[in-house]
Amino acid sequence: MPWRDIAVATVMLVIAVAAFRESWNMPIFGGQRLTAPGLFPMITAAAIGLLALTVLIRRIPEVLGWRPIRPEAPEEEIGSVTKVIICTLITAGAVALMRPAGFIIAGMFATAGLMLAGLGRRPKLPEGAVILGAALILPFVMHWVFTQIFLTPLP
Amino acid sequence: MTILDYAAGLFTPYYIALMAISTLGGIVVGLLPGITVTMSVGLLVGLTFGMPPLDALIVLTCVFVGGIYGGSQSAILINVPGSPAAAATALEGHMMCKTGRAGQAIGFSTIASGIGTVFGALVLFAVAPMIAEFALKFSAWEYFLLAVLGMAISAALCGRSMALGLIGAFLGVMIALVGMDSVWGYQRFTYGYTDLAAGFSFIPAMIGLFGLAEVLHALSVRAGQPLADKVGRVSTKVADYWRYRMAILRANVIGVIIGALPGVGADIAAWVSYGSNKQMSKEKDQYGKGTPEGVVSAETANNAAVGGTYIPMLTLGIPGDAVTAVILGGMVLHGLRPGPMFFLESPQYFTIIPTIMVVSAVFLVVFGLMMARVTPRILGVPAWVLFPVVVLLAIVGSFAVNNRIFDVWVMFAFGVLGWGMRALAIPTPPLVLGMILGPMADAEFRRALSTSHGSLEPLFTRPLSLMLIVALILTILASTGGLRMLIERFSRKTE
Repeated sequence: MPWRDIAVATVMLVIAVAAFRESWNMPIFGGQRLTAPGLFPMITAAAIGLLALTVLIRRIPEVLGWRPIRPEAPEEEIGSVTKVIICTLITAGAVALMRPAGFIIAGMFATAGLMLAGLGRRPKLPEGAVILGAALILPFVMHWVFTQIFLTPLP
Repeated sequence: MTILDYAAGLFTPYYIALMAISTLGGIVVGLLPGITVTMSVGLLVGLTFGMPPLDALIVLTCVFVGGIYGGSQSAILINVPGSPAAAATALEGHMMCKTGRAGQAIGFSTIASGIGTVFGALVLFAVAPMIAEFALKFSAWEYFLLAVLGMAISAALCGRSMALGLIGAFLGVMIALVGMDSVWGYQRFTYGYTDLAAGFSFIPAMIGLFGLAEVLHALSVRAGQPLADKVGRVSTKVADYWRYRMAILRANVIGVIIGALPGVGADIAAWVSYGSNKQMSKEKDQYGKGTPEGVVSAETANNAAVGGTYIPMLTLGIPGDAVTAVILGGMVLHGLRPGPMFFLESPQYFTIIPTIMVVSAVFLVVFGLMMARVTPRILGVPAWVLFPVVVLLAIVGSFAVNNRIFDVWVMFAFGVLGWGMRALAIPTPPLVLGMILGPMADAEFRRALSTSHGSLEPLFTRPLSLMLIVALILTILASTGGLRMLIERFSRKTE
């Protein structure tokens, strides 16, 4: 889809310009331009920018109708974006809870939240029991296994 | 110690049990859709950090071998490959399942995977030392060009557009450049955050990119149910494998060669092998109707690719695919340094790793055939029950590497990035390769320029550099159609 590629290329062009500017302003130590820390990032940013321009040059004429859109192979389905957003927010919430509340509370939140989001509807009684049981037991078991056997100091 | 001593050292009850358990674990992980081999290996790198290097290498290699095979069982039974490498298997395998030959399909895929793994291991054993010796002749220019060539090959073969693939690769390079500069110690792109001083930790990034991203995708799509509640007999005849011997041989060769190309991997190997054997087959009309030759072509190649991916990883420090990229990171954590000097510093691993693969292949065949009747029950577990477990494991695995919450946030960020790239049809292997090869390209480029006092002349006067530049140009031309145009123009001129 040309619009999608144009959006990606535009974002990458902005990132490339910002990175190039940042690298240009990096200091040069001992007068050694060839080993300056900003040299390779500048080259990489320039490469990204040029490639993004290539994509834009190819795709903009297709969107404007100046050139036919080339057929592409079918892509896999994305699925429900709403579900992805909900699961992302739940995961972020769990990670944020790790420091103040600890792994077990964060794990309970993540397990219950992701199971409910994954199910996508009101759970039936047996499903509810599975979710409740898993949310209560799984984080405790994991915490024990990783702190006692693998010696990982989980919060 | 001789080569046989290195190999013999693995045949103790402890190591045999470790290889068996790891292979079985890999098969289980591989057959569950949404749990990728890359993610499992990434989690295990963190969890095996406390083990001795050899033990960790056994676990990682055997999970890799088992996981690549395991995806074929879910591909056959529910038409959802457990790993991307089994996508080609689903075409013929699921058709065989629909026509009541699920057991036969699993039997073929299991034996073919065993054959492919052994072939890949033997090629690794024979070829890797030769490449390692050749690599000692490389200078900084060659290493820099090799890094660029690796990213270009990955971008050319892994996606719908080379430009987007290269953007991904260079984005990976930029991500890898965040943190302290290796020459002057200057903090690049850290914006004052001390957590970023060491850059983005590689293992959490991989767990996010291939683990959390995959879970987010799998939770959002409807999963299939096993078509077969019961799997019939899994036995196949030796005569069948003799009948498909040319397909098996081609698949082995294709698998190893494609596995050895940086950033490409088993899934591409399986498709190329399937496509090639379909073209050359005497039973071409049977393809698409459930021919065992299709299953054998795909499965032999994807497991042969496992040995192939280790070749550039061990000899040049350039991973053959995402899984070996993670294994490379794990080996570095254990104090091993894959690359041109690895053969001089640790030659025993050039015998040990192929031996591990061969033993794992034997366990793969035994467990694969035994598990066939249990697999439909495993696949019947709903995704919404399984994936929260995976997310918790991803959180723990990311935290375990450096004991920092920041790494868990890195995992989360890369998970969202990975899902986004998938939604936008931008391939992720070039990004991974960029993250691995970026620091190497940076250091070697600056070293090369410093040695030549800013002159780019050695790039074009050194024969090895010139060879790599030609390979780079050919790669770009081939993937953009420019090569075909040039050949057509040349043909018209000569007519």
